[in-house]
Amino acid sequence: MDVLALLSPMTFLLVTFGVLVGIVFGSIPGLTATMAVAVFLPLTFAMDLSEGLALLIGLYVGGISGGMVPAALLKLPGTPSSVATTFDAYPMAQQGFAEKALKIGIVASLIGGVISLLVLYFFAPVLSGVAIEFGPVEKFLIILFALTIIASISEKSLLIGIFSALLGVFLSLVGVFPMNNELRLTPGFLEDQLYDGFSLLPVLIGLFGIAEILRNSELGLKDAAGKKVKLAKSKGSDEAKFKFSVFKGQGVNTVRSSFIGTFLGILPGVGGSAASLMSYTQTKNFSKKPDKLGKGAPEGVIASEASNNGLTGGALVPLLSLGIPGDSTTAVLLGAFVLQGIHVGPLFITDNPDLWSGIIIALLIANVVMFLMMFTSIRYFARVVEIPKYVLYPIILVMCVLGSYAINNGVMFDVWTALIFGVLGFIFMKIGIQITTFLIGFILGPSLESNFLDSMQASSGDMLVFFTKGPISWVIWALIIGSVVFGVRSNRRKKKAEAAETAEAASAGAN
Amino acid sequence: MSDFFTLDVAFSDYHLVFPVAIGTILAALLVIIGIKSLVTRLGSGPQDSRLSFRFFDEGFDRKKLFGTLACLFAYVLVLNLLGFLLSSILFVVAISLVFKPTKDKRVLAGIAVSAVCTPLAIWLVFGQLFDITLP
Repeated sequence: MDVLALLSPMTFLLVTFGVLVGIVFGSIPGLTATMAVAVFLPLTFAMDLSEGLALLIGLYVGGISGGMVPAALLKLPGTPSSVATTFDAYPMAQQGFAEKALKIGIVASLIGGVISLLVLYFFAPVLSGVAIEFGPVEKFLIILFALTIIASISEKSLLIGIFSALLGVFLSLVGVFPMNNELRLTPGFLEDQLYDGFSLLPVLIGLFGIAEILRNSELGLKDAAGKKVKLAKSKGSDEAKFKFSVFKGQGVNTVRSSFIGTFLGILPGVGGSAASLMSYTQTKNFSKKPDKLGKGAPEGVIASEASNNGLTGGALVPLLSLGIPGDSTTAVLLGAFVLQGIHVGPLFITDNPDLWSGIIIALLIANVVMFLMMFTSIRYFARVVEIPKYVLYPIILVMCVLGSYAINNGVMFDVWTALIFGVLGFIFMKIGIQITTFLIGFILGPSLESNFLDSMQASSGDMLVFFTKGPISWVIWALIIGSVVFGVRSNRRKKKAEAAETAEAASAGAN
Repeated sequence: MSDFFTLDVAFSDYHLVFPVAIGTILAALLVIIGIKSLVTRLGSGPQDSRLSFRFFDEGFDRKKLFGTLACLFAYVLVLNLLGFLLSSILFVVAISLVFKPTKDKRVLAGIAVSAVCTPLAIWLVFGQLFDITLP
């Protein structure tokens, strides 16, 4: 592998541009990393896939990292994965250590990103090596596992999670069935437009671009700019300056958080907010001074930021080895592969070695560029938070419409699809259907179906084949059952905690 | 017993297996979810305000939400008639005014600049530089 040949100036430029724009998207609450990738996806038509991925990976890493800026300055996560950053970075900023808090976050992000990159590099080929042996039965079961695990980790109840996923599967079935060329679930007057079902990209743009903007306009577009954002000068006081010695004694915390992020990234559908919250909780459990967390402890910032950047590499593992996206942003990345007609699955790495190393290198550059850019100019990025949304949203909406139009070379129905799913996404947010879970169901639906029917054909309709196929399928069944049991138990625990909280609040109110 | 686990469907009906199966499961789930929420609702008494469902937020911004929706639908409708540049310029002006209703001349000037520059820049970069199909 000739590394230098892969590192063309163009790739470098695209990654840098991606990181820059990503940080801007991440820094503004109401714009997310997923939205950044979805909006810029159309630009990649004209590029070859490795260049396009370089841009999108830059956006991904930048977007996840940028979220820490408003988290520290305004106590608003810029992107959902920075939820836990607010717990400690904001108190630190209140004490006048904003710059220090952000720089701690930046270094932690870099470490998390690089660790997850290493995991991706070594683990994805192993996983795809195992997955190559999979027949339709195993593939069906692994997708089922992906869907149950998303549902079980979802924030609401397990039932609603499963419902969201299956609703996605259901809508993905619209259109023609490729095995026997019969239409189903298609209203007569839309037969032409829906022959191939809903295109993935307009659906993504609708769910993550338009729906989000609708939700924000319902909230009245309250701008963060109203609050004065200022990075207080660290008045020469020694404590307020960032030093790498902050990380002394935090090695275990950093590495543990990075691995938690990476691991949660590998589980399909588990987003950054879960990763940052979980590693924050773990840090609190292991901390020598747990009562300091939440009041401006650097270790809390480290935990959250290391884990949410750890997510980036982790989420790419199932995408590149199984074709199952690890989170909503990688689901959009999958769209880039679909666009270029490249099949992502167990054979991807062996079939496209150049692309694979290109992705690894782009991810590495993205992390380094993110670090350099944010570390040196965090003051300027802090100002980005002030850009009013009424300036940005019109631009993003134009790009949403344009992008959905251009995806299949000018199909007006795709624009309508984006609008319909924008409104649907908005309704989903209201009635509690989880958008990421729905989306993963939508993406995996067709392969769930074809693998099921393939296994039926091979076994002449014997459904017991899913239990009798052999050891691999038993292992996957164990995982499926495990994920459901986990989901039910954590649900119950959450409900108990909530009940305890309300009881506490009630008794506090009575006093 | 083994009949129960055997799927006997003609190849020409294969396309219906999944829609029917998933549809059935969805309906079943909906019923279960409905019953569950009914049970909690009955159990906790009527005064619990958390359970009363509200679609829109309290005091939500009616004008902005529906204004945005209206602008978006109008935009897509006129897109084919007026072409990308013209309709985008109109759209940006309209939606900016929805987002920030104002008579302040400076803000209006800013909106005008953004309305002309944004579609133009997108048209140049996407349409001309990258050769992407525009409406």
